[in-house]
Amino acid sequence: MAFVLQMLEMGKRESWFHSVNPTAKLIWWVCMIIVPIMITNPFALIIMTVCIWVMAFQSGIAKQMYKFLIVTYPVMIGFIVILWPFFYAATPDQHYLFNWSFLHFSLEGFIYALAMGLRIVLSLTACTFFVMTTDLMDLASSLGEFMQNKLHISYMYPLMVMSSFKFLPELGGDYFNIIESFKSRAMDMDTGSVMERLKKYVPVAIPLIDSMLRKAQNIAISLELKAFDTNNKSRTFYKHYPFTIRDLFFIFLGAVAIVVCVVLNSLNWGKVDIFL
Amino acid sequence: MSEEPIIKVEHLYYKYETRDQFAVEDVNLTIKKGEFIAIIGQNGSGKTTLVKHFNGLHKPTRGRVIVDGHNTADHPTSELARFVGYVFQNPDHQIFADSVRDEVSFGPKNIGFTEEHIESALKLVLGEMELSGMEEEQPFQLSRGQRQRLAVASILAMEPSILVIDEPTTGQDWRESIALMGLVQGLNEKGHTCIITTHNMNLVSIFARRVIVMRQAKVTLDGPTQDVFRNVEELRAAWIKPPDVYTLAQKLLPDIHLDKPILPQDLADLLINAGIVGR
Repeated sequence: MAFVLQMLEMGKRESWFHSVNPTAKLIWWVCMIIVPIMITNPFALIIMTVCIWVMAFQSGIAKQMYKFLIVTYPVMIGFIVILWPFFYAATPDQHYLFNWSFLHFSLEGFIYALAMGLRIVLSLTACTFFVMTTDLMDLASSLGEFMQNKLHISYMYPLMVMSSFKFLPELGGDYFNIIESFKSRAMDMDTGSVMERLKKYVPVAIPLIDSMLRKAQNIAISLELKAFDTNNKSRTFYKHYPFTIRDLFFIFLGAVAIVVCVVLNSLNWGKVDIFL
Repeated sequence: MSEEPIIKVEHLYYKYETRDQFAVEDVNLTIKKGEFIAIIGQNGSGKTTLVKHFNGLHKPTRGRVIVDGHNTADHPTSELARFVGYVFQNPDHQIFADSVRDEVSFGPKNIGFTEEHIESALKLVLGEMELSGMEEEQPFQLSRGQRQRLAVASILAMEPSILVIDEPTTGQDWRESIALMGLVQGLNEKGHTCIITTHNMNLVSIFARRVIVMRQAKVTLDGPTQDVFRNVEELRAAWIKPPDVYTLAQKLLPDIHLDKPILPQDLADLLINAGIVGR
């Protein structure tokens, strides 16, 4: 939880990438989600991941990103790389490292699993980069402006998203206070089996839900007191997020990645199968 | 009050992971058994961060905190909670049970008190916190003042020798505040070491015998209440307004030595004795 809050804090820093329009970054991120769906070529995936890391260095978040991903990479990828080869369809022409009854582990299976893992690596890296270079409040505001002015969608929906983002740090703060108050009553939250620990967290949920409900009620009242009307389609925005050349360039980077995938696929170089 | 130190803070530094500056910087303190201390200072001065070291919720970045002979760095909060009770500012952050009885007995159960021990502790603390007869009440339906007293009761039931209360009177009216502080004073008279953090200077002048002033992560004043409240310059620097009775005493009787905290009646007596006003 602390680390998630820390990640969200990183979004408030200043750099070239931080100052890109949040909606542009969201579009770029969507492109980076589509890329690993389109291709499985390990080299292409590695190159794109490295590019994101270079961008992370430039924006000054590489250290924090490393601290997060060094824990997340192995967990997310480990299972795939270890388990996938066992489910890789067995054919007689494969190079088997282990083959017994229904259990088989071949070099081809391993390469395939590695490629699947690299897909996760790319999307995870892109997602972390996006979160760490984007202030979620800015993202919600810019999306709100975009949705109301361009898509004519009621401001209520972006407000709902914005409010949940806004309360994330508060929720985190309350969570830590509640945990501390339980520890202060001699509750040992850090020992025991996984089930025992989970059981200890049940009472924590009650004051947390109570606190969230109170906050929700307060914000609803304060919105009404400030004449909030969901049907008002002409409301103005305090901050504006116009698209600049830089933002378009950033979207262009995402589009280039998609085009590269299309080209690789059309040349039959997009899939890991060429190495098998 | 005993001369025996119960809390020793030595060159304490603490830095939050998300911040660059120290939240507590080179703090040195010795707190004796049975003291009644108020820690005051602006928001963000480091009061809560300091007191969270007393039961191990925070571990020192540098320096050490010794509580009743235990280095807090080496003991988890769940262990230190046996002798340091910590009451949070917002009682709603700890209430979870269906009844006052379950809420109060939660801590003692964690420590491993027997059923008989829990029952006697429950009776005692509910009596002390004026919540007797409410054992089966739903905690969330109590008033704010009652919930605050319930939070204190649930800590007291663990029979800690040190009681730390963070902002005990937030959200309470003057009558409730005086009542709660009176209860805390009663505990202090029974031998508990009481430490409060607060912004209410009038309550400090009535109840605390020692005041610690924090400014920008450092302790800038530490001494008897009457001495601290007469140090107008340092208090002004820390954005603290002393109670009017001290401001008046400072203006009318600048050279007088005060050997105990004063209340308006005491000042009136001092002024009459000094011949400044007639009876």
